[in-house]
Amino acid sequence: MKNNKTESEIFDQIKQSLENYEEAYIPGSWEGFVQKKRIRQRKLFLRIASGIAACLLLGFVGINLVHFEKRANLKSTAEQTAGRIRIAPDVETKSSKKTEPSVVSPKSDLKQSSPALAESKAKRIPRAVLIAEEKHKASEQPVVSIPAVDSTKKNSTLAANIDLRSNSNKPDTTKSRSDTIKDKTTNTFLNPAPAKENQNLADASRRKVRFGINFSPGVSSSQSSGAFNYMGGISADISLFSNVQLSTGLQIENQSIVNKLPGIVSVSTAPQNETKTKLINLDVPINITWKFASEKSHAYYVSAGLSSLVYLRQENKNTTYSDMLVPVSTVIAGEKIESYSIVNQVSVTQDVVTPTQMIDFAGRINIMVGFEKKLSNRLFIHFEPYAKIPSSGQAAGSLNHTTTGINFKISF
Amino acid sequence: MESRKEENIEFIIQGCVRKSEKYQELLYKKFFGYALSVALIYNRHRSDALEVVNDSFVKVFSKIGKYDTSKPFQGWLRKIVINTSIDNLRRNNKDRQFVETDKYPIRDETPNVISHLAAQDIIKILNLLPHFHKTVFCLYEIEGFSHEEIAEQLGIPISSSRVYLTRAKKQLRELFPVNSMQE
Repeated sequence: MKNNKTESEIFDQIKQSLENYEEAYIPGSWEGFVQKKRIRQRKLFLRIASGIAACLLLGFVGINLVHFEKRANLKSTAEQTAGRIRIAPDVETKSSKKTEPSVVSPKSDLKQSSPALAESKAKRIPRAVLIAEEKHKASEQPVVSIPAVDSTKKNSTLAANIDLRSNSNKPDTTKSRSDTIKDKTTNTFLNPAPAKENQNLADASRRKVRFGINFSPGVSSSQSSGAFNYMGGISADISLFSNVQLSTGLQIENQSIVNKLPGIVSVSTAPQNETKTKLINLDVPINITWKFASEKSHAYYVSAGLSSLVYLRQENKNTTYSDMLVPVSTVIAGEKIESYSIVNQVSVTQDVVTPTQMIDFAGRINIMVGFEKKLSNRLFIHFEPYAKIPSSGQAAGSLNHTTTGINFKISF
Repeated sequence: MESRKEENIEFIIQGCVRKSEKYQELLYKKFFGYALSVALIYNRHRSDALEVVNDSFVKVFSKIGKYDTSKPFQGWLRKIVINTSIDNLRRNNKDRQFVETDKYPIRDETPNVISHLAAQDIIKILNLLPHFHKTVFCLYEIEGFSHEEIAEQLGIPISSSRVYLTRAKKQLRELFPVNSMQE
């Protein structure tokens, strides 16, 4: 009963003391608050802007890839067409000389009865011929035959009569010029040869991806101190343009971070409180690399982008120092004198974060400069001083540390 | 006249609703100490408490339009500071296995010391408790929350809340100089 009364008195004492307690305003807090608010807004803007930039970049890369494929297809088609059209003039000359009216053969006439088909053919044929012209500077003869198809539209009945007559006389030349070209174009689209060429082009584009392995020692710096860290992993450099690459990969990182915090009592004689964090995490960077100086044997480049993090293990060791008021009793001349002295006291706590509990998308901003040296035809060595700046508080303890170091990479 | 207006809390709040930085500064400076004293109860480190105060003021300035002027502003601010501290605690301790490896509690056996204990000393003693124990104790004893409310806010079972409170009280009994109270 008495114990309960004492207990409630203790808690009442705590309650009263805390209710009446109010800290004084710390000069400069408002200025700090305004500054932090601006930094937050800037970070938010940076995140949104980088997100938009990433989306645009992906869109651009996607469009570029589609466009590249289309161009490759068109190129191979043109080459095929050009190769076949080169033989055409002999056939054309013969047929044009002997069976000039046969431009409007019953076949072509029949095909004109379907206007959509005729139109699509008219579109297809000139394009193929034009490309052939560009490539091989062919004679104008085969081209001249094309408008005849259109002109026959006007006098189709008359032309059909003439054609019937001519066809009966010269059955060998029934294959008119339009038919010849039609066959050629049909062959171009149905022939399996372009597919083979596309395969070759795809192989060539695949070679544009360079894989690598890397190791990088570095330093993790917090506001108060720095500590050694190292990371290693695999990388992939995807060539977007002649001097622009998309670099990505998977790194495993081992970091030690030391944070020193001021104690509650600012005038304390105790050392600063300290948090030592051991952090193991995966880092997935997406960077854009620009080679600004490229020679045969070496190249210089800059790279920037974002890293997403997956924390595998976090171990925090908090060491707090506090002042303790200790009563000291001394007896002088038989008289007991009680006094108090301040003693520093240390308290250590340790906590562990279980694996894969924390994922941080775009948690760091990567900035890198690099030097690439060609070792052999397919082997390159890279030296890349880098800085990884946190875009938000990292890991479970909202750590804010910058990681700097040199990345050594071998790519092939 | 102008200075009187600036001292009037309602007038300051109206200025804050209009997003006037001048009035935001006035409000911040006026209630910073109070907010910090609340934050210090729920946060182990002063730097964390300052962070919580700043986060709370960001919330205050963004949600001040929703503030019910018929109720005292301090109560509303206190609620925001406590909620921000709890959010911080929950975020930082999510799925964390708390292991206390070593601890040296203050054991002051000097008679009549309790009457001289200042709030800062009490906070120091409270900080010796594990974070969850301290938070449950403060929410229950100081704020008057029920175990159900505490469990909901901290995301822990009701039974855990009860256990934490019992343990906190037991530890506090050991830490406080009870001799003086018994006399």
